[in-house]
Amino acid sequence: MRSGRAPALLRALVAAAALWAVNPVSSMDQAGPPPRVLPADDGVDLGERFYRQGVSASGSAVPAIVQGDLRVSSTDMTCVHCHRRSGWGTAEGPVRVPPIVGSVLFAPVTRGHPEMGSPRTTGPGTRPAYTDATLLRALRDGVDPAGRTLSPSMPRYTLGDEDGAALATYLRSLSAVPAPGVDGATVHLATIVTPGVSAGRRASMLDVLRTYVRHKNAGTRNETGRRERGPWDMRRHYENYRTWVLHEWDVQGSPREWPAQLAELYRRQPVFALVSGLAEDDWTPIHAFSERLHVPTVLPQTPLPPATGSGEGFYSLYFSRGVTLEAETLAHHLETSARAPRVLQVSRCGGAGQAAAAVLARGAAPSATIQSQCLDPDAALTGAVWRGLLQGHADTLVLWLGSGDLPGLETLAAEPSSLAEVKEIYVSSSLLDEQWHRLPKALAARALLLHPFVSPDEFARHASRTLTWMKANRIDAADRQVAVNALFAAMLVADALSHPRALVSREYFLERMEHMAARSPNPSAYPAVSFGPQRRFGSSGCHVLKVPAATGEAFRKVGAWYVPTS
Amino acid sequence: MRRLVMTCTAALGSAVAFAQAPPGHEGHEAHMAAAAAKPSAMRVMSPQPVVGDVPLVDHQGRATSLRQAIDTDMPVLVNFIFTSCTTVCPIMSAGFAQLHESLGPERDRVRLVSISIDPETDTVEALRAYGARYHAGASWQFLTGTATASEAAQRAFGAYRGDKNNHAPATYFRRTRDSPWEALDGLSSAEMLVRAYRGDGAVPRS
Repeated sequence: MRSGRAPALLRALVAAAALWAVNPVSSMDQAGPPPRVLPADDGVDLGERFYRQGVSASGSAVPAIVQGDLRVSSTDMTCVHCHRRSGWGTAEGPVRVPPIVGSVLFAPVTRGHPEMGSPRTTGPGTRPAYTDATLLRALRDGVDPAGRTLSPSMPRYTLGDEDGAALATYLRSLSAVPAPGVDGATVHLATIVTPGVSAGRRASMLDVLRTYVRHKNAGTRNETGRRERGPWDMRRHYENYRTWVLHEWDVQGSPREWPAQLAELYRRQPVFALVSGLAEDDWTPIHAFSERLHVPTVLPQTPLPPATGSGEGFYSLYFSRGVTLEAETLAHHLETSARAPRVLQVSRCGGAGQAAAAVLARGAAPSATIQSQCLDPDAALTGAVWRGLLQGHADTLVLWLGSGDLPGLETLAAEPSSLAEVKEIYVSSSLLDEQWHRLPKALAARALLLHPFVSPDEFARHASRTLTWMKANRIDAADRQVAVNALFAAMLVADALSHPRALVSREYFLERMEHMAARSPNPSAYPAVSFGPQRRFGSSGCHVLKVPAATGEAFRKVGAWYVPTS
Repeated sequence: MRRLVMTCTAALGSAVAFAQAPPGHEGHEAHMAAAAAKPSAMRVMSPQPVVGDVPLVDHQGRATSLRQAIDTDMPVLVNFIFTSCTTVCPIMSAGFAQLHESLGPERDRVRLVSISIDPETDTVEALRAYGARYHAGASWQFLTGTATASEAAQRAFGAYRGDKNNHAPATYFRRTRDSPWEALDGLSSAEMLVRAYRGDGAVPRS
C-alpha cells in the first residue's frame, strides 16, 4: 500500500516545489527592471555574434567541452541553439534550458513570495546575482555564483575576457526594451489583406478573426478584475490577460508600394504581431517588413511565401511553400510517369503562377519538353488565345491560373479540337482556391489537382472541430480552408500569448509557437503543421489528386503525399 | 518508510534545482525530476524492441528498412535525432562522432544508426549535410522516411513522444545479434558510450 501511494505523494511534492519555484521570477519582474536603451556599442554586436554564431572576438571558434568529455566547438554548440533567440531558454524532452536574459541572470534568484514573508536568499534553488566575473567563470568552468556545478549539458567554453564581457553586454540587451504593441491592458494585433483577394475569401478570414476576438474579449471569467484585484496567488494566472485589438490593414496598389504603407500603418499604431493575413500573390514585401521590424507574422495565407532557405528568416511562420511546392511536386510527378511529356504551362505574367512555372521549368526532368507562356494580367482568355497556345501539340497542360480565370477555362472547354491531344491538365489548388468543383466538365475529366492541403474528401472530417465552431457562430465561409486556417492561427497566437514571457519578448512568443503548433488541438487545412528552430514552413508535402469527373465521385490520390527531397 | 522519505527529498531537491525554468515549463520540471530520480546505469530494455520491416531511406538515398539497418553481428547503437533540433541532438551526435573517433581503426566494427523524428524536414540531402558536419563515416547511417515510418521506428524502441519537441534523449545498444537491447537514458559522455560498446556494465553518469 505504502509503495502504491508513494508516486502520488512524490508527484504532489514535485508539483508543489515546481509551483513554488516560478513565483520568485514573477515577483522579480513585478518590481520591473527599468527599460533601458542600449548604446550602439560594439559589445552588443560582438556579443550577439558569439551568442548566435559562436564566433569569438578574434573571429574564430572557441573549443568547448560538453557532457564531461565531448569535445565540441562554440560554432557547433552556440548559445542560441539552446537558450534561443529570446534568451528565455527552452525545454526539449527532459532537458531544460534556463533563461539567461540580463534581467534574470544579473539578479539574485530567491525562493518564496513577498506576500508570504521574506523570500529565502540562500539554500537550494537560490543563487546570488551573476556578475561579469561570475558569468565568465560559469562559461569557462561551469560553476554558478553560489558555487554549484552547472549541468554537464551546458558546454564549458575556453572563452577570453573580451568575449565574456561582450556576451554579458549582449545578454543585458535581451528583453531590455518592452515589445511594441502591448500595454497593461491591451495587445494590438493586425491582419493584412493584399489587393486582388476576393470579397468571399476576405470575409472568410475576417469573420473568423472578428468573432474569435469578440469572444476572447468578452471577459467571461472576469479576467481583468482578477488580474488587478485577485488574491496574490491567483494574479499570476491572469497577469498576461490583455484585451485584443485587431487592426485590419488593407494594403493597396502594387507590391512595391506596400512597404511605405506598412511603415505608416505601423507608425500610427505599432502592433505586437500580425495574425493570419491573405494574399493572392507574392508575400515578400510583408515578409521583409516583418523581419526588419521584428514583428512576428503568424501563418498568413499566401500562395507565394518568400523562398527562404533553412535558417533564413525568423519572424514569419508560414503554413506551406504554396505554389513552389506544387511545382516541385509536379516536376517529380512528371518524372515518375512513364512517358516523356510535352508540357505547355500557362500563367499570368508577374503573378504567383509565373513563379511556379519558372520552378517547374527549372526542375523538370530532361525527358520533358516544357513550353511556358505567361499572359498579360488583363488579357481575356478567348478561344483564339487558347487555339494559339495549343497549336504546339502539347499533351500535358499546366494551368497556373486562379479562380478569377474560371470563365476563361469555360472558353478552353469549348475548344475540343485544340484539346484533342491533351491527356492531362494540372491545376493549382493554391491559386484556384476552393473552386475546383467549378472546373468545366470537359477539363475535369482529365484534370489533376496539385493540392498541398488535406484532400477535399477528408476536409470536413479533418476540420470538423472548427467547422462546428463556425456553424455555432453562424459563419458561412465562402472559403472554408481560409476560415479554418485563420482560426488555427488566432488560437495559436492566443495559446502562445498566455505564456508569461510571451508579451515581454516577441522572440519567446515565436519560440512558444514552434513548441506548441504540432500539438494544437485545432485543425488547419493541412494534414499536420509543425515548426522548429529553423523550420518556418509548417507543412512540407503535397498531394496529386485526380479530380472527379462527375459530382458525387471521390478525389483519387495519385501516389503518396509527396515531400520534396531537396 | 525511510526510503520513501529519501526518494521524496531527492525529487524535491531536483525540482528546486530546476526552479529557474521559463514559466510555463512547470510540466517539464516535474517530468525531469522523475527522470533524474531514476538510476543512471544502462538498463536492459523491457519490453525488447520489436523491429519490423519499416521502410526507410538512408542519407545516400538508398532504400532500406529498420530491420536491415540493424541486421548485423556487430555492436549497434541507435538514437533518434532531427537536423533542426538544437538542444539535445548536437550533444548526442557529438557523442556518436567522438565514439567513432576514439575507436580508431575499430570504428568500422560498430554500427551507428541515427533515425530522424522529423522526416518532413529531414530529407536525404539534409541528413547528408548533417552527417558531414559530424564527419560521419561509412558505418554511421542516418535514416529518414515517411512520417508513418519514422513513428513506427520510434515506437519499436518505445521512444515515441508524440512530438519532436518532446524528444527524450537516449541511446539504444545491442552487442551482438543475439544480445538483448539495452538503453542508456539521457545524454551520454563519450566515456559512457565507449563503456557501453565495450560491455563494461554499469555506466557512471558524468
